[in-house]
Amino acid sequence: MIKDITLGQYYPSGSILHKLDPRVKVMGALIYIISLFIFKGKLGYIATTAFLIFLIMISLVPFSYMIKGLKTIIIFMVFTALINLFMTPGEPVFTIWKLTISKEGIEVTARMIIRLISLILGTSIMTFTTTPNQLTDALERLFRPLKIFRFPVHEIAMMMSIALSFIPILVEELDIIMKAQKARGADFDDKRFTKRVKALIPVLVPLFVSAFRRANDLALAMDSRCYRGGDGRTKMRPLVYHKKDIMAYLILLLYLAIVIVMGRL
Amino acid sequence: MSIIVDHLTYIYAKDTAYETRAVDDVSFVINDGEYLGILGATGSGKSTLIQTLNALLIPDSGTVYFDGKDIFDKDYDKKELRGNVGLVFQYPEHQLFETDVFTDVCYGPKNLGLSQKDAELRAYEALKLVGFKDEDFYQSPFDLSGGEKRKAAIAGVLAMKPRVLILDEPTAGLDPKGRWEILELIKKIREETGITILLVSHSMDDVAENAERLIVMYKSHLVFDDSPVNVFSHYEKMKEIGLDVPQVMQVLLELKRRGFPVETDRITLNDVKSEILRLLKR
Amino acid sequence: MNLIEVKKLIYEYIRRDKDGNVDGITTAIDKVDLDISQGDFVAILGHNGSGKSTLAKHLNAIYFPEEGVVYVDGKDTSDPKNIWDVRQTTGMVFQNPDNQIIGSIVEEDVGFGPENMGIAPEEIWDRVEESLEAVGMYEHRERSPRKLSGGQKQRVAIAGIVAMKPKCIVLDEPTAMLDPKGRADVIRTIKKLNRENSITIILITHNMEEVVDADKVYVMDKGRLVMQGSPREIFSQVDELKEIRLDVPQITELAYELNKEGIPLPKGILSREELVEELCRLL
Repeated sequence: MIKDITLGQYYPSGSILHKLDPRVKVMGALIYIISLFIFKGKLGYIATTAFLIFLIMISLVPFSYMIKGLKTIIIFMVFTALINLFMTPGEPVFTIWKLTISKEGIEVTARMIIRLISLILGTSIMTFTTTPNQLTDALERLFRPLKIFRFPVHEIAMMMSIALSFIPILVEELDIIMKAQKARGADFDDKRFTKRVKALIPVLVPLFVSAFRRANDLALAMDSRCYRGGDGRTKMRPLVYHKKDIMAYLILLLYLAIVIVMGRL
Repeated sequence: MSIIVDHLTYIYAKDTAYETRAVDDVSFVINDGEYLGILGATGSGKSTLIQTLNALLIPDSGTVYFDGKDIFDKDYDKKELRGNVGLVFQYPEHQLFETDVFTDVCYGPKNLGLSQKDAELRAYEALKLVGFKDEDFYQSPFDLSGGEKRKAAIAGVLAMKPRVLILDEPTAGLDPKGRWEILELIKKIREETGITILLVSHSMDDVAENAERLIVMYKSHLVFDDSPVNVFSHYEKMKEIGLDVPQVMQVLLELKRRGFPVETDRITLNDVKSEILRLLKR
Repeated sequence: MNLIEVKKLIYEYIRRDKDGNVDGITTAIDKVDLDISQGDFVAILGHNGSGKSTLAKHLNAIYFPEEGVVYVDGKDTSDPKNIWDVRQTTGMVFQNPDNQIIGSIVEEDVGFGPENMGIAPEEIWDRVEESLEAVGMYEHRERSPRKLSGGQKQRVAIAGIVAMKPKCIVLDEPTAMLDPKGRADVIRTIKKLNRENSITIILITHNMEEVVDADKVYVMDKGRLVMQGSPREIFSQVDELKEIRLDVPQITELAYELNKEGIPLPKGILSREELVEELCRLL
């Protein structure tokens, strides 16, 4: 169900990762993504997977909760896997009807799936351990140099943070609206494409109306709490690097070096 | 001709860290033509419970029989079921979407496969029943007041001609006037059509006067299934589970505690008044 | 000078038809005068559309008077340079708890106001801690507000205002979407803030049971202030209230009905205990 989306949601478990500076986690996620694409051999997979397991373990986020996020993109994954499986030419292993699966195909697919899963879990660890506010604080800080080009860094960061925190509410609302229309005989399971698109209107209209109403309410609430943009605003968690953050950066660099070395073997 | 809820259990987020039993082994019967109140605090499982009654949610165990047939049977026509067991959600904003009220009310009957003409006939009837004036039929549903929106939403479900009408917190957030109007409307709908009413609420004020029977939910369990008078006589227990008991009844309870010979099984203002007058004129 | 002074306030909406032509004018607030002194617990009663929410938004410099003046702590709200002082002096809590949460954990949300005011981080943390304790939500400080109950969310919203150290909190139907327990918790919290922190409370509601402990009650209808007085004075006018389709507390109504039957009960009985005492006297 739609409600099962856990991707991008904060999970408070109070681990060491939660206590790190959010900039470290943003950079860490970036380094991890890069590391996934710079190696060729099998050893590289071992290194990246081992590091991922290490992160999952110290994040104290239950693994079962984490993989729930994977379910939502499973269709996408199966689709890309099938294309890779059948379209990669090479030494044939077996043939179904007119389609041939090659040894290379299996290998490419397996690699792709491992990379994709690692990519999603790696970035999920960042979002599970960082609140949307901290995340946007980090991005605001990392992109601060852009301010000289009059780029509205604070405003965009604030928008992102609000959007992220309203996603769960709107998802829940979508679920209720769909149920309310089903109770009036709506059919969202009709196989015909045009019918399906038509069935969306009674869902999207209330959802948009509600989103606008919420946005309006929220703007009022922010106004009355003296929000006036980024100037003169202080932070309750000013971003300052501590010893553990430096340590984390060193571990990340060490990890990157290991992947580079192992990837060449 | 009734709804039988049989050992129903519904589990949210099964097999995850957030797994919760929203409804736990609940059984009761809804008789034809009855006005039934379902009381419970937020999170007691009452909303989940009613969403299983028209198969919007599928229970993990137990089942629901409508007219003696298992509604979770594979061959059971869910659309027809939803036409028969109408459910009005709490916020009308979750269902109103058309550019005018009349077209919006036609949505339900058209989904049931009725012709445009028949759907319009039903919409007209339903809007009349909830008290819409002809000149308000073509208003945008988004321009209506809170109370009027609710009436339009109720009409949207009534137009499917259900035999059971379930209303989830129909008065939440309304002012006293709007609340009174909705409760009177429900009474009127029942008198004129004879359909079964299920009113779900966290406020005893909504159900004390009109409901014939109350189901009380607490932490996913059914704790009471009895007449309002009998339910409210469990004064301590009701407080404990976060629900109110009519203030006027508490006056009688207090008088009794002080040793006066009063009957305490009175819950409406008029009944309590008569009882106090009887006591005073003794 | 009183904390809040409203003099001859008028506020009008222009209604437009589909083509944008002026269709008519609705007077949302019609020559309202209001004085509220520091430390009072004031309730404003009225139907939806009676103008009570519009009035509330004037006290927080969200709306500005079209005619008349609003002074908050001696400052004219229509003067642009006062706007931030006014908003900090009178904080505002709204009806829907979901639509006023900004932070993704409770602490962050409560800190939002002080952050906007440019307060130093250490002090923000002190204020957050104090405010959460004042509303009884300290133990939930690290939770996601989304996972709290409606009553808890509303108390977090109140803490978010308290952290800005306002002199006055305006609550616009804060309990309309809550169940009895959540409602009781919120009302208990605002009474405590009024008593212990001497914060002026302006409670806008249509729930009659909530206002029986107020120092003063104002009743609005069609944009006008139609009644004002102590709860007892207001609720002894049962007929007048019924005329504008407002309820009275059930106990008050019972006493009123008994009175009509010739039972000599004083007017404006507000609580169960009071009624029982009076009845015992007669028995």
